This record gives sequence, C-alpha cells and structure tokens, in this order.
Amino acid sequence: MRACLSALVVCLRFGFGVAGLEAETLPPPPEAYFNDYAGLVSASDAQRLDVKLRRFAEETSTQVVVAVYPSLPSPSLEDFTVRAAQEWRVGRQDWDNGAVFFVFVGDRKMRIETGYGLEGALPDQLAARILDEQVRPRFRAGDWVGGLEAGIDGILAATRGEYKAPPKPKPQPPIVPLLIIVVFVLVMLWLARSSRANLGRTYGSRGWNRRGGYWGGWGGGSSWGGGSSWGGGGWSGGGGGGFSGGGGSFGGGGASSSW
Amino acid sequence: MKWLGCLGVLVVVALIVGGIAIGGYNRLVGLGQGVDAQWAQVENQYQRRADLIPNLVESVKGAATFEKSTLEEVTRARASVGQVNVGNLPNDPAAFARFQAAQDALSSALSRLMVVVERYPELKANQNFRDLQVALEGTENRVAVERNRYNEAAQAYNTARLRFPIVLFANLIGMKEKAYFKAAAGSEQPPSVKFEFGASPSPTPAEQR
Repeated sequence: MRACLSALVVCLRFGFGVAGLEAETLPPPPEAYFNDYAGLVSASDAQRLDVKLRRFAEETSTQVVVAVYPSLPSPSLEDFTVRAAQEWRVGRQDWDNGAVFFVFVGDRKMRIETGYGLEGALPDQLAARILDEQVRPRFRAGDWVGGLEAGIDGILAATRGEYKAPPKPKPQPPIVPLLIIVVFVLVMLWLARSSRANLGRTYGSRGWNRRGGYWGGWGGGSSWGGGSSWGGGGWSGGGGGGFSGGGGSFGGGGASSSW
Repeated sequence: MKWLGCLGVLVVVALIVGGIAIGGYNRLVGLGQGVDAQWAQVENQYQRRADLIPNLVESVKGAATFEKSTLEEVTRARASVGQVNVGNLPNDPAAFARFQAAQDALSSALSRLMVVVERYPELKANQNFRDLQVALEGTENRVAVERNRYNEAAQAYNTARLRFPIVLFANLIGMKEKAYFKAAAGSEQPPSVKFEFGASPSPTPAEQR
C-alpha cells in the first residue's frame, strides 16, 4: 500500500514537473542592448549604457546584451539563461559572438552567458572573476549602476580584440548597371549620328557637337549614384536602432555568481 | 482490359508510397546526422571534464590530505569512464546506458569532492583552485546543455522513424532507434551532506542540476 502510494506520488510529481517545463515560457527578445526590467537604474544611465553596448556592437559585431530582471522566472538559473540567450540569438550566426549579462535582483543572482564564439576570449574563469571581483562588491554596496557598468566594461575589455565588424561595402556604383548605361548611351549616340547622317550633309562633323546635348540629357543617369543604398546590407543589429539578434548560439559557457 | 486498369492503379499507389518513403527516408537520414553531430558535442564536453580532473585532484591533494577516500573515488570513477568504449553509442542502448552510468558516477564523485573541499579555507583562497572549480562548474553546465540538445535531436529522429511508412522498413535498413539520456536514479532527491564542523555558508556552492 505504502509502495503504491509513493509510486503514485512520484508519478504525480513527474507529471507536474513535465507540465511545469511545458508551461515555462521564455521572455521575448529584448529590444535594446541594455534592458532594465527591474527599474534599477535611472533612464539616463540606462541610455548611456545602451549606447555604449550598441556602439561596441557596431564596431566589433560582438553583441553584448544586459538583462536585469526583478526575479528569476525559473527554478534553475543556468537552464533559464542558456535557453533565453539561445532563443534571443545574440551574436552573429557565423561567429556565435554574443554574450548576455543576466541579473536577477530578487534572487541576488547573476550570470554571464557566453556564446560559443566568445568562449576563448571570455573563458568561464574570467567571467567568474568579473562577477566576483568587479560586480559583486558594488552590488553589495548598493551601487547598481557602478556594478552593471563594471560588469559591462569587463566583458567588453575581454572581447574587444576578438572580432572585427566586417567593413561595410563602400557605396560604389554597381558595375553592371553602369555598363548597361554606357552601352545604352553609345547605342543612342550611334542612332543619333546615323539619323543625322540621313538628314543630309549640311550638319557634317558639327553633328557631333550636339553630343553634349545627349550627354546632358542623360546626365540624370548620375542618379545611379543612389546605388549607395546597396551598401546598407551588412549584419542585423547595425544602424541606430535597438537590438536584434543575429543568430548566435550558446552552449552553456559563462559563469554564475551571487551577491 | 480490366487487369490493366488494376495494374495501373497499383503502379500509381506504389509510386506514391515509394515517393513518400523516399522523402521520409531522406529526412530521417538528415535527422540521424543531426543526432550524431549532437552526440559528438556531448562527448566533447565529457572529454573536457575528464581532462580537468587530473589537475583538480592534484591541487586538492596538496591541501586536503584527509580526503583521501573522496579523491580516490574521483580517480576511480574517471578511470572507469575511460574504459567505456565510445563507439556508435546512440545506436546501442546497452552501451549507452553503461556510458551514462559511468559518467553519472563521476558526476556524483565530483560533486561530493566539491562539497568536501568547502571545508578547506586555504584551498578556497587559492586562485588556481578557484579557477579549476569554475572550469568544472562550467563544464558540468555545458554537459547538461549538450545532453539536453542531444535528447531533443534524438526525439526528433525517433519520432520521424516511427512515422508511416518509414516504420515498416526502418529496422530492415538499419535505422535504429536512438538512445536517450535519462535522469539519474535518485536525482529527484538532493544529496545528503553532513557537516561536522560549524560550516560557514558557502557563497558559491557548485550548482548541480
């Protein structure tokens, strides 16, 4: 009887565990590089840190995201952070160069989650030292901005030299449309010349002088210089906007700490 | 003439089923490759953990001379992990279970060691040992992540394998079911730890999943 009951309890617990796993939803991808959902720092500080992270992402293509939550929405810190970071796809897809700095204020826990491509530049030991030696003392003293900034600076310093943003393609006029224009202009000239030749000999070689008119007329072709809009491609997350994931992957690297 | 019509219908049905089967087979092959790739990731992380252990044991040995039995247990468990031959384990449930049992034994020996060393302040003050501790925690976490992803990949493969009409001939063409990692027996209960001294609360206990 007892065995039966305990088996039932185990079954129930297992069932609930599975249900809990299913019900747990991950937070949607953040819209900025610095996200303070707990209202820890002032808007101006948040803005400043966000600009710092965004500029870093534009220079190096390495995406570092900060997410401050009021409390941990899952029983397991590491399980939650790796799944959230993976879901947000922080970092470039081909380099996996993303990192997320999680802070859970109510639980007094924090973690740096490192993407596959940053595990060399930011090994777990270094991440642990950043958290333990830079962030923890400041959080303990109640200096939230200082702690967050120290953590960000540590991550940026470690990952700065690792990747370089690929140079954005220069806004040079695309060669194929230019060729087409040249051929087109030549054909037009030839047509004009032959038609003028048909008009008679009175124009003679002077007909060529009118070529300038044609050039002028087609001068609008310089609007192809607008082809600079071709250079806008590059990788996502650029531009002046907020954060958008580039497709990076995470394998559980990083370090956890508390304060 | 009637038999001709019958034959036509049969041929059409055979073509349709064959087409579905080929599509299903190709999909299954892709999923199987995904499982194998993910298995390689799991092996990588286990290897990384095994590589950490000699250094860890050395650094503990110096400071914690009293913990001989715990250390020996770790060394033994690591040796037995090395003996489990690592071949095509996902296709071999028995060998897979042996592999998991050996790795889990090493996990629990390591976690006991990490609890025990909390008693040695001079060890915890040693930066080299702290780094090793962080490396071990990180590796355990990576193992957990890759194991999880392996199970997901294996589930996708096994589900596709059981679909009609693949299920009819999956065994014939050697597409075997992939084994899963299972939660270790007794892992629903936290390990009991006895502290003889008035142990100070540890700020960073080894996070175990």
